[in-house]
Amino acid sequence: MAPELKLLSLWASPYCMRVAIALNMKKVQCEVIEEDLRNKSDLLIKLNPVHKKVPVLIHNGKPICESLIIVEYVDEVWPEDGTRQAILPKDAYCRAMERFWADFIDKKIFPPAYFALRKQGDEQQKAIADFYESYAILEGALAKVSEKPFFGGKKLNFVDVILAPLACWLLALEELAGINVNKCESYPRLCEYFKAVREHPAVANVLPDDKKESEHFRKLRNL
Amino acid sequence: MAAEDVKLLSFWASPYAMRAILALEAKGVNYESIEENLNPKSQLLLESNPIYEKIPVLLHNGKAIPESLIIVLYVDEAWPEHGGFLPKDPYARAMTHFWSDFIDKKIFEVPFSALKAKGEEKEAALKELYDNLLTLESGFIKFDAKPFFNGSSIGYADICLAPFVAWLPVFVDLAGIRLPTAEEAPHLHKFIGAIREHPAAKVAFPDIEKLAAFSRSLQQRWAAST
Repeated sequence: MAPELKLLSLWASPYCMRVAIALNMKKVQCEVIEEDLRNKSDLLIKLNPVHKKVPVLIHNGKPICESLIIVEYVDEVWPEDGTRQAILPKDAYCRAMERFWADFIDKKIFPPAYFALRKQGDEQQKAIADFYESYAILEGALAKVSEKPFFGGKKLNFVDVILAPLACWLLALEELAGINVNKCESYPRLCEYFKAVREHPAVANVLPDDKKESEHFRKLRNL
Repeated sequence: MAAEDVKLLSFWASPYAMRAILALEAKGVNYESIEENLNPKSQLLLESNPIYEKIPVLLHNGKAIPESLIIVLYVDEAWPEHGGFLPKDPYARAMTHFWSDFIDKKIFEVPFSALKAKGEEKEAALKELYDNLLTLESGFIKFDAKPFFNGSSIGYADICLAPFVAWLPVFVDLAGIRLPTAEEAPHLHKFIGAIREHPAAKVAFPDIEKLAAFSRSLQQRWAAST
């Protein structure tokens, strides 16, 4: 019997994209319910009363919140078998290292990127500086992975699921914050990374159009 | 089996280091605690945690694991034989992660903001903490905590929260933290009583007078720098 799976989502949210990528990797079908965050649904408020945020995965009626937690949950409920891969590895140390980089990306890459897109003046300048500092560290980490192009080598791992959605923000970051990380001389591995991850079958149909994402942030700024 | 080499780069007052100690003690792991001075930071610390240069760092047979919550999960997985910190059911595990994340983001840091702040900013921090502790009570209720999230033994969420209890008398005295009452938050109060008696906490929690003196000197340093 197919599980009942719904995802409370927002098309522009990279946090929701992470969940969609994980579900694609597990080849699991899910009904996506688009939320309007200026007019949150009763369902969202009931299922995530603490944070009132998307994504919320609803599995057989039970809600799971927070993107990193949802991805680990999906990995545990649909473990590796002949038809689907594992997201996190079995070895405790390798798991710790993937969680470390996922946490780094979640705290030090996405928030400065978001503030660079939303803020102006000094606040924006600080966000831009923080983003560049973290991006350089991330390039260093990826350079240590011998197999290309992903953090998981030829396959996606937990770090990749958390990072991949940044791909759809790169144009917006350039247009609205002057952040240009497409200079392949400075970030050779990450350049290759984002070109490849957009094409990955689990990611390709999840990412919205770059221009649509940039327009979305432009509108938010003008409000 | 060869003897395991387990070291913890630590600092006695750090609530983050306390989480790592609680995890190792709860699992009965033999480890060496290396007290870091932090000024200057040791070469070992800088090499083991080049990204953040912070304690705690667990060194297990030479491999470095930083970040307190990542260390706790690692200890649970590397020493599975001494009882799990997380339930077996994936949904219950996700809920444990959810409340640990809530504790880490919405409870753990707030008292330190209150210690540093003054006036309106301080009042806002105190109110935020009070409200979040009431929300945490709802988490205890959902888990039917007896008295811990993990039942009668401590688990991931309990270890995440416990150092808040170690610092609590200091938070109350120096930052004016107000806890919900025992009527408003009975599970929280039971947790506080129970964790203080736990053998792992007897090792991890520092002497309260020493902690109070340390906090007063921290407050003076913060006041002097503004």
